[in-house]
Amino acid sequence: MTFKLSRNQFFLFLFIAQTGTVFLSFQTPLVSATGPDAWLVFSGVGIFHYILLLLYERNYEYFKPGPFVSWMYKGYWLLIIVSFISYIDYTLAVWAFPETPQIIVISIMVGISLYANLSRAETVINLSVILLPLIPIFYIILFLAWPDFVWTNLFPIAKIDGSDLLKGIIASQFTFIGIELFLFFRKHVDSKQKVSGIPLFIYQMLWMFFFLSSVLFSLLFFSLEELKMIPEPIMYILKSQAVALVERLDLFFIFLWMMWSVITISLFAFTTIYVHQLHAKGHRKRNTIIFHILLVIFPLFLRSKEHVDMIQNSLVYFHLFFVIVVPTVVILMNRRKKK
Amino acid sequence: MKRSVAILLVCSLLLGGCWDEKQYKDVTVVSLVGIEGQLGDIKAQFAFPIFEDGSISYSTSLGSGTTLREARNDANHRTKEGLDIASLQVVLISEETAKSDLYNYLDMLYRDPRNRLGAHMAIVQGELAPYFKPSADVGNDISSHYTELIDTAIKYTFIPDINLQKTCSTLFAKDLSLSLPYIKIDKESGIPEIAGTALFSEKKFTGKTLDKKESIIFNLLRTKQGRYTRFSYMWKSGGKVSPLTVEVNSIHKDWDISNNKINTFYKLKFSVEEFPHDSLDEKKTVKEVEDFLSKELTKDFTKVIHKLQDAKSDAVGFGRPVRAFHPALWEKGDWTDTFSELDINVEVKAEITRNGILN
Amino acid sequence: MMDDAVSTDSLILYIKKTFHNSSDLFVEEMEWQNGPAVVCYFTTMTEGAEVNLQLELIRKRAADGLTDWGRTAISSVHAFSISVLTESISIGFVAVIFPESNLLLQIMMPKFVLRSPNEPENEHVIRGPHEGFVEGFDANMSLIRKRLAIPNLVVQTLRLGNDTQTLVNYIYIESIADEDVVANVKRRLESIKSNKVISAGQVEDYLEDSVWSPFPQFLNTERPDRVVANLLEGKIAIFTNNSPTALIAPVNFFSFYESPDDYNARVLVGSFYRILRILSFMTAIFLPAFYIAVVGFHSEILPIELSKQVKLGVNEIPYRPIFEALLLELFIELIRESAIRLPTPIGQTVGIVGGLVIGNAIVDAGLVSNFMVIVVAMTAISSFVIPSWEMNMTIRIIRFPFMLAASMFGFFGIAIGTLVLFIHLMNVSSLKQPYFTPIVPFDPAKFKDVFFRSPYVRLKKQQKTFTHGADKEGGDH
Repeated sequence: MTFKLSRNQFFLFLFIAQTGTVFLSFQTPLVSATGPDAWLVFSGVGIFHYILLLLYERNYEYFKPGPFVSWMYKGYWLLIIVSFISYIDYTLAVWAFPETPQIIVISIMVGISLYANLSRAETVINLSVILLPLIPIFYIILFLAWPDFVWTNLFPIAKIDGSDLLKGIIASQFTFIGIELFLFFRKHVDSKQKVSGIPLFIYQMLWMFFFLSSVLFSLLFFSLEELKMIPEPIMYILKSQAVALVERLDLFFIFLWMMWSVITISLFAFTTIYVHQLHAKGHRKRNTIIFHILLVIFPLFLRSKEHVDMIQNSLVYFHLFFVIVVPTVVILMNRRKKK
Repeated sequence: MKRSVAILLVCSLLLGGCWDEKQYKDVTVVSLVGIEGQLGDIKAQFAFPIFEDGSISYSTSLGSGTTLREARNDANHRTKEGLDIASLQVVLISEETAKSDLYNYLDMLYRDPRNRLGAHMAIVQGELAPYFKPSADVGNDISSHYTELIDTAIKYTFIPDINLQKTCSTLFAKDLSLSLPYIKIDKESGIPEIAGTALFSEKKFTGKTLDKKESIIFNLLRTKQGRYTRFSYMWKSGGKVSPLTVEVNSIHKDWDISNNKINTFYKLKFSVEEFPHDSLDEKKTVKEVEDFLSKELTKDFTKVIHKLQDAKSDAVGFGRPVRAFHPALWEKGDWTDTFSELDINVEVKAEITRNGILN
Repeated sequence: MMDDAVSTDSLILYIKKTFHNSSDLFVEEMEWQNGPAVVCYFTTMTEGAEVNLQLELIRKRAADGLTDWGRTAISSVHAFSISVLTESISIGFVAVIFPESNLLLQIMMPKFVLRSPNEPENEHVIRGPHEGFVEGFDANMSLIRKRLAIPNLVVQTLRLGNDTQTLVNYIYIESIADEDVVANVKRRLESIKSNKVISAGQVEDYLEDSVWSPFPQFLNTERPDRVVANLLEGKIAIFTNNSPTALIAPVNFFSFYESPDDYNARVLVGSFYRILRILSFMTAIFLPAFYIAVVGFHSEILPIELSKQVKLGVNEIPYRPIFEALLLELFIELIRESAIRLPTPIGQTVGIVGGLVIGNAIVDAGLVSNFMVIVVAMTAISSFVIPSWEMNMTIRIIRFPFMLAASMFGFFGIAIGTLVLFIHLMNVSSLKQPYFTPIVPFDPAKFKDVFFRSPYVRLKKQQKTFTHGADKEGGDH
């Protein structure tokens, strides 16, 4: 499987993989832990994200995972996809499909990923393009809530203690998930196009703007106590907006988010299969199908919200391991080898 | 591909309907809900249109139960189709019910994903039943009567513009007290009408209300204007008497918060709508009118704030900047108590910028 | 077998036998200056008087002692062979055989009935040329050459189908067209192994990358100006001899939404109607599905004033919305299908009777709600807006899966359907070139042309690969 990415394709790929399912769910735990300081905490975490990107950009050439490390990553991504799928399914069940059997909704979503992954590589890479016109609309409608924003909700600041700060940082780690794809796909970017420097900074700013604004919106729109009861604050903001033509914009956007998430899943599935094919020769079609069957089966074991939450909570620690520890080890080992 | 499409086609024809299908013809669209009773014994009234033979008529149904959901299911037994409150327009809550924790009644409306959050809220005086079947003729569709009543009142700054979402948001806010439109039935005409604003303190209705003029001033205190904000006074100056109606064009507030005192300064810009005395082209008269308005308004504003303090209801939102920027004052104790005893000074300065249709 | 011993009589008999004594075959012996000659041709394909004139001319040239007496603008001399003989006669040439010298004189003067190049019925334009192709390649080619007086315009001819001997011509501009694509077309045309090649549609099936895709990968047109505009963009046009339709490839999805009218109208006007057409794609596919989803699943999105009207409309309908929709859609398809076959005045009557009378009665009878009639009618109109007939049909077909998905899962079904459609559009290729091109792979320079008709025409090549930066079909696996 050989393919080349343009700079824009690469960053779009990364952005959609990082935002996907997460942007609906991470605000509530973050704000619950840190209160009005959430936006400050998140700004700080954003700097960490940028540092990580810079380190990745400097060292990606040395990142050559062997079969064992690849298998670990594959397991990790499987866990991510499964937790995403079960979260999507749970959310859809709450918002739209309480009666429809879980397996049907899951199979349909995984079916899309399967179809995309059986097509040529470019199809998966470009899948995110369909979201490009929709994301601005989504944002404009969020801004309709502007008159209802309570600016004093952002204060008082710096009232937070150490353990809450740690909880907040952990909660905001969900927005990092997918950053490791940078290491895997960076070498496919057209070498004529510059990535380091300004383009990387622009990407960081986009990422920051997207997540920070969603934190700000949730803080500004809801009172703190209320926010703790609402698992998907962004959807509630949309729900309370009335546009002349239709009521209930949230219903459109829950499905926009579903599309977004399905694409994120396809991207992760694509990455998993791509990494698998680096070491396994041939049988791409067969492996793709087997992998997707696993994706249908595993979420079925996560029947309740508790299971979904448990997986989600443990995901953060896996994530830290795979984003910081493993790349560091692999890069250092390869550097030494080169010397 | 073709085969699978064919299979899907056959399936969809065979299935009577899919799992979550909710045919529109099988639901009754409730547009008005009334809640009364106490927690554990809730009575709920529902008003909805009935469609028959190509025409619309309106009906109501009463249900009771431990929770609002149970009350709705109870009411379902008396209607042809299932009651669907997804496109709710107005929620009426009886005075007595609102005197206990309001959120207990609203949780089902607020956190049901199917539900609409833009519904208007109002507190009604006395029993609910006459509000659903008023003795006077207010048209068939009782819910649209309330919707338009409230919309118009908001336009004229009589009541705060607050919907279900903002109600619940405010109920959970510690730095702001809730205020809802207050509706009563006029004794002579029998028509439900806007009576003013109901004041809440810590999720509970205080029993105290603001009348219409106080409500306007209350909204100005919050600097939340509707499209029109009008005041009328009898202007007296040196033996001259003249009726005076002014419209507020803009309002600017400035709060100076210190540890034991809040000084508030409001600057209002008016245009004169009605002033038979005229001669507003003279600077002297304009000055006189401005001074008169400043004095009267300062008096009225102060009165409203005292009333709010009496009710222990910080519906204006003094608590917001206090919580954000004045931790010492905020942490003195429970904010509603602090507020009710706080020294709040009001100064209003009126300025006439336009003469309206005169001159 | 042909030697001096064979008399002209036996030759005549032999030819008659070859053509099974067909009564329109003319075979006669005539005198030539140094011996007998046999003239044969189909009287139905060649004018006898013209033959006489040509023969007189050639006879005179022979008498003048010219060495190349048989070679004129329309005639040539070959060594005699039976296969050349039968072929020339079948095509409509005149064959003159000289048994003495064992030569065969071929005079190319077939006469066919051709329509005049009227504007094609299904591709009307308001402004611009009103010419259309006819059922003969020479006439068609003359219409193209008339517009493109350049030496780079190349015609290549193949003869396909053992039984039909159909001429298939593909034309391109050498300096602009991509040579890989040209070679690809040639290879695919040559690999057609069929005894009967009759129509352009048949050739299209053989040439397409994915036959099962609902989307047409060739642009069919009968307009010379459209062909020329496309040739100038580096595309290839394929003609089958007896069809007025040119197949143009490689094309992208948005080519089907462009009409020659856009470039004849003013810039703003042209752009407006182009955007309108693209939007009509949305309504044609999604509108009925959206309505079904709303009525079946998400009625809460309707504002209360509208919701009462909708409820009033659907309250007494006995069937599920999907039935209503299918009933009406099939009904409209029936009207359309019957109106095509009927002569114009009757076709209009059918349209009026079907559309107005039955449409009204079906609502009164309570089978279908009036909102559904509005939705289906709007959908039908938006699908007719598309300037290309095949794309029109495609759009009409693919909205049925969307309706089914919406009736089963509401908006979820529509969202899933959209993803599937999008992935499919990214997978489709036209002669191995990406089909969804200005969008995926994204090409900002051409992207605006999807929605706006730019003030002047710049010649652009078709996007070649799916892969960023690769020169060849790198992304294909």
